[in-house]
Amino acid sequence: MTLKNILKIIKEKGTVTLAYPFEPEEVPEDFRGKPIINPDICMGCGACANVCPPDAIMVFDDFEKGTKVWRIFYGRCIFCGRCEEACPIGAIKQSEEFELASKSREDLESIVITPLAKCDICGRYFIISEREIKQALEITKASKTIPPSILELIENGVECPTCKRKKTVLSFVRALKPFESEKLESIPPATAVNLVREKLTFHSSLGKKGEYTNPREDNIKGVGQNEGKTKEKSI
Amino acid sequence: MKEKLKKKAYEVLKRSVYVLRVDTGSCNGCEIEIYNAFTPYFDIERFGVRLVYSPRLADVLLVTGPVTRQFVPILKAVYEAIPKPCIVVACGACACGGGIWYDSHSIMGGVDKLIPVDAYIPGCPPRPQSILYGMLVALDVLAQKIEREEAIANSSTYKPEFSNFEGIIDNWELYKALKFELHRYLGYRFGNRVLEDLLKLSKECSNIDEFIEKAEMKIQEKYNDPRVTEAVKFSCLKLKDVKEVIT
Repeated sequence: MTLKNILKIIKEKGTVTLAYPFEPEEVPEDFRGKPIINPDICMGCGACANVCPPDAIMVFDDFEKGTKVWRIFYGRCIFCGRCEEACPIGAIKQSEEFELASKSREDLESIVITPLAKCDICGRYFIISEREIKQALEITKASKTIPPSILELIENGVECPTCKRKKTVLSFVRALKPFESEKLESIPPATAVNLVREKLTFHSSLGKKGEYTNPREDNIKGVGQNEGKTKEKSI
Repeated sequence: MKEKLKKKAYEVLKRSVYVLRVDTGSCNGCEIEIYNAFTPYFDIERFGVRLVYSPRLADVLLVTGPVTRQFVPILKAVYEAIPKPCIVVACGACACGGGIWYDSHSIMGGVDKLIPVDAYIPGCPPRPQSILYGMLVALDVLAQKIEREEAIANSSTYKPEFSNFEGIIDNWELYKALKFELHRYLGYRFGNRVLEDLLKLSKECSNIDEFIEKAEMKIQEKYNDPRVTEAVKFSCLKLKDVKEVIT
């Protein structure tokens, strides 16, 4: 092959090399690039953090400051798109950006801070964000199977899980012993639940007064006493 | 743009840059893309970036993989053998922060826990274009685009999504059932596209049977794919079932 032939082939074929860094590159359709969060829409539910395979997305709750910190580290992201799939309201979406190289680790991070909801009874922050409660209200309004009584409950005031537990337990105590429930209401909820648990075991109808017995253990003891009388129990 | 960039590249680089590639236990996905970037199609050698196979010759250390425990002394030895000053580039999700093995017992979880890193190239694996871009960022030819973002999301300005349902799909349960069925058959991206079409169509219809007929017709016209039409048909049947249960 002579030089002339080679030059001829080069003229016919032209340049094959991409002009990429000099000209912007067009990505194909449905390209999975950098996931970008829209902080105006995000309600801080943390569904994306649950499904993220390399834990590039993490969510931390700060109960003293009352904030929920959502953090993504693009260095660890594998661009799989599970976060976009899991997001119930489309707040996180994969863009077409692929030029993510950076000189420092801090530049690869993105943070969104959402406020946590406050309990109306004890006044402490708990795991659910304020935006989630607003979203839940909208969903209950737009649904048919959820009864409207729940809507009233949410509108009247938000309860944290500990206060809810205290409320139900106190209703039991009132039924069992009406005088002691007055003392319990002034105690903080976490200790109250423990106290009530002790009280409940004291008044348990299953055991004798003053001692708690597990009904299963009782059955096992009973098996030993009634040996010989019933064959089925001994097996 | 083109001439400016070329001038800058000549000014900054002045001579060819020799790259040593070190594999610290990667899956070879990054290696394939790195060699891809050196082929004539992407051609990183236009900028004088060349591969060498000895640390004594290298200017740039290109590390891939999550740095396994067995590779720690070798990586340290390689780093010490390179004449200083040198540039260290972490390529891929594993080298940048450990990837999906970031909390595993037998890996260090990132190159920057052992040696100082000058540039990170995220991606699993990164595209040849982004490797090219990352190398040029590390060599100060191109500017860095990504920035740290911090946002505080106030709850007072928040407007909840899906506040209005009209037409056939007038409540949350129907919307949810249709969305889940479409995601199951068509995947979340294409499913969401079809869902938008169906929500538009539901405003025009008054009866669910009419809605099913119209939906099949419209989707067949738009996408001309019998698989999509079939998926829409099945998800509409599910919609009918859910509607019967609710009322």
